[in-house]
Amino acid sequence: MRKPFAILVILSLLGLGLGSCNGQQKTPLVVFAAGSLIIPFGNIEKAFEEKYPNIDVQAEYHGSIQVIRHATELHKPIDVIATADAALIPMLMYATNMPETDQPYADWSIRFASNHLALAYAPESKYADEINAENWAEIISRPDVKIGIADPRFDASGYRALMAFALAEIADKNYGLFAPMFDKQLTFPVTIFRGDELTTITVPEILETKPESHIVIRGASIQLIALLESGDLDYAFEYESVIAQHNLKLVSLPAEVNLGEQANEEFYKQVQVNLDFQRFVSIKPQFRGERIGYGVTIPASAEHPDEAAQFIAFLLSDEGRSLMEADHHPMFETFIADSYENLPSVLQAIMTK
Amino acid sequence: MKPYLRLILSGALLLALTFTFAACSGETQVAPSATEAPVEATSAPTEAAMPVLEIVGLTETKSLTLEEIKALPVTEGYAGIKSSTGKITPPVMVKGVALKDLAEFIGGMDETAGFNVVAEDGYSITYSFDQLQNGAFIAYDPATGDELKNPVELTAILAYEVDGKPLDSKQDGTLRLAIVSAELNQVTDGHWAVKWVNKLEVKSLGEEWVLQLDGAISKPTDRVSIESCGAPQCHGSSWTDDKGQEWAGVPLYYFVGSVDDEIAHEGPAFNRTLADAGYSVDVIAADGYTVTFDAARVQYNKDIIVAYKVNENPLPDDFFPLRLVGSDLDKKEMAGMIAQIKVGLEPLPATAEPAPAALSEADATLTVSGSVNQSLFLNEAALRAMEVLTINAEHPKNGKQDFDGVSLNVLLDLAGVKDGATTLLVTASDGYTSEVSLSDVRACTDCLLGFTDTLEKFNLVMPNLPSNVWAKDVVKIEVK
Repeated sequence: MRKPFAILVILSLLGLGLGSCNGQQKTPLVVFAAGSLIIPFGNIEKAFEEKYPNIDVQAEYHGSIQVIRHATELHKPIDVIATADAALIPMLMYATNMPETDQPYADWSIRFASNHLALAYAPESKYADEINAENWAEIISRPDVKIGIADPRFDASGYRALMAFALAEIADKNYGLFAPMFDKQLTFPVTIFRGDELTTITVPEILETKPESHIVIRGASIQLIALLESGDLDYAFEYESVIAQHNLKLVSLPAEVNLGEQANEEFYKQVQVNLDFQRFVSIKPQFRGERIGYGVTIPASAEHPDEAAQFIAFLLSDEGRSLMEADHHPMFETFIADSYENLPSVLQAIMTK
Repeated sequence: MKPYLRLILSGALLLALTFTFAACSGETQVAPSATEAPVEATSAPTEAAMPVLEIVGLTETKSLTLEEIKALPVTEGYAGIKSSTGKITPPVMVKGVALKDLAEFIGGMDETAGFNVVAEDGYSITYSFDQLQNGAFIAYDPATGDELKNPVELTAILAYEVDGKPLDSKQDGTLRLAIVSAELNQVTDGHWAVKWVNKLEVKSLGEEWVLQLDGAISKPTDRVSIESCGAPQCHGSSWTDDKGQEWAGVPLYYFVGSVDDEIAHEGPAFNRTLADAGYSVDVIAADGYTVTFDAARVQYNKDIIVAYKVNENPLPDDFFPLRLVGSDLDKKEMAGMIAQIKVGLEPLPATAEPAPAALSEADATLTVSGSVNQSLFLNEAALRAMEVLTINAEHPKNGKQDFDGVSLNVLLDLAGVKDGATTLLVTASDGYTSEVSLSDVRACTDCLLGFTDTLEKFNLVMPNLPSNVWAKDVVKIEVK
């Protein structure tokens, strides 16, 4: 009796193991997204997993340039990429081929959400009772004000913050805003050149603040939130959605400056930020001013492209929209596909050409 | 059932059971990633002799095998990372070579240079001198992720071991960057932790350029010479555009005057007689775009400027390195990317450049030698035949004074400093030597080899530099 019993026990355990495995096995879906999407995508993830219990979303968040770099240069198997600047996808993914296939990392993208650039601050911030949409540039340029900017080499909000100064100068025809903010603050200067058609800001290869600088630079804009909350910063350039999500105080920037208004699309094109060095293998990035547009794609290296398409379809659904907007993140009324013909069919079905 | 068969059966069943549970041991199973791959034998005998790192200095390039890297001074400590959105990878013990030691190994660098770290796939990031020398990185508490308020001593290293083992070659490559400290008390931003490193490069962050001047005489003129000429107390001039941008440079007629006859610098360099007789001046951009002037329009005209800076910075790409600007120009005449200025005069047959008279070494009272294209043997007469500048400068100990002399940079240009030189070794008549950084001298447009009241006795005049480099009774300047 002892031998059959032992075998029975073992087989039961085996069956239990298999049974539990069948019940829990999920398809991992790796999503890399911009730091400003942490909160809304957290809620999207939860709702998506409830709807698709066999899929486990594994999300990581970085500055948008870093998001793409994880796919194209660190070769991580990522299923969905969502950046705060849709233009980064063609710039860094269409133009970069996968070594295994010699095909681009992506050949389509969808602009799905917008935002507005703004200044976040706390009630205790210096000149908090004084700052407004007219005097913001002058206030944050004061030497005793600590102002946080994301590193424009890694994060879209960083180069957008630089654009804001150039746009404010053009809007006000006051060409004395940029210098008080940036001059003598950095070991190697960020420079501005005001051409006839285009104002160009150039970011040096080494972006390093001097010891007494009033500028604080961090790798991603989301890192500035903690410094604001701790009182180490007075102000930080952030997206309005992020400011609302963290219950911070906000200075709305003028429409010509906040990069969020469709009506000002042409105005925004008057500025460009150049990285003054070869940051990537074959690309010297240049970021032209345009209305903020978040982009999403599925890398060609994705291991679960079908589930990735399901995730994006959910994001673009009414339910996804309401979740995003509940977290103060504005979606576009109409999603814009770049290279519609290359979209997965499930996404083509919900897009207009 | 025989005992050994029972044992085999039990083992097989347990193994199956183990695999069954292991296969679903977490709902986060990801397809096998590089991190789970077995470590490749990076030290396999066939690969041990293969170079794994190219290291480029200002003067030389070396290729190193892993064993050669391991033979360099070792730095080890704890390194971890914090992702941009707060995910912490806790510190582990890593071992490698400090970047500052590697920079020193390839000839050194100073604050005007960066240390570029390049990965196998071409991705690169440049570390500053301050980061290499002083560990100037933002560090975070590994437990909370909060920024550390009190500085921790940090060192950037090129790591080849983690926890006593070679790096996982698929995840990290053979070499990767790590920012280490002596204790388990910090993590740093993930973007510094470059993986798959295969090249390091000391990189000058300033870009050099040359303007070709052709007329009765021809001469290429480099950035340092033009910036020296454009110093405010020399021939500098500026113009402010309608957007408040200040363009600084040298009036075009100075360039014309330097090649219109054999007199390049001294005295009335611009030949008015030739200008009155008439000739053309072509300012030619790199793409061939040409703006042509009559000599009469250029003559002593300070409102036509060849600018090399705007708002105190080098010109933007569309105009770099030089642009014509000024109130006497219309927009289409403001050519950028100037590469050549051509004066419509017949070239003189003889050598018109007033180079110092050729002396024998025995006749010289001052020698410029070392890492140069041609050694200079000079005496006071030869030096005084060159352009003599008068400046008012503050001696660190003696206060403000007037000094006469010849631009130290002009002397270095005449000798032709070879690429990679970093230092001037200055020797006095009593054998006393002092060193000064070449980059400091190159940045010092006012530095002179100064004349004294005593014939054939020269002192260095080094404004804004420490007193120890104001060498007296100089007899030799050796470029190293």
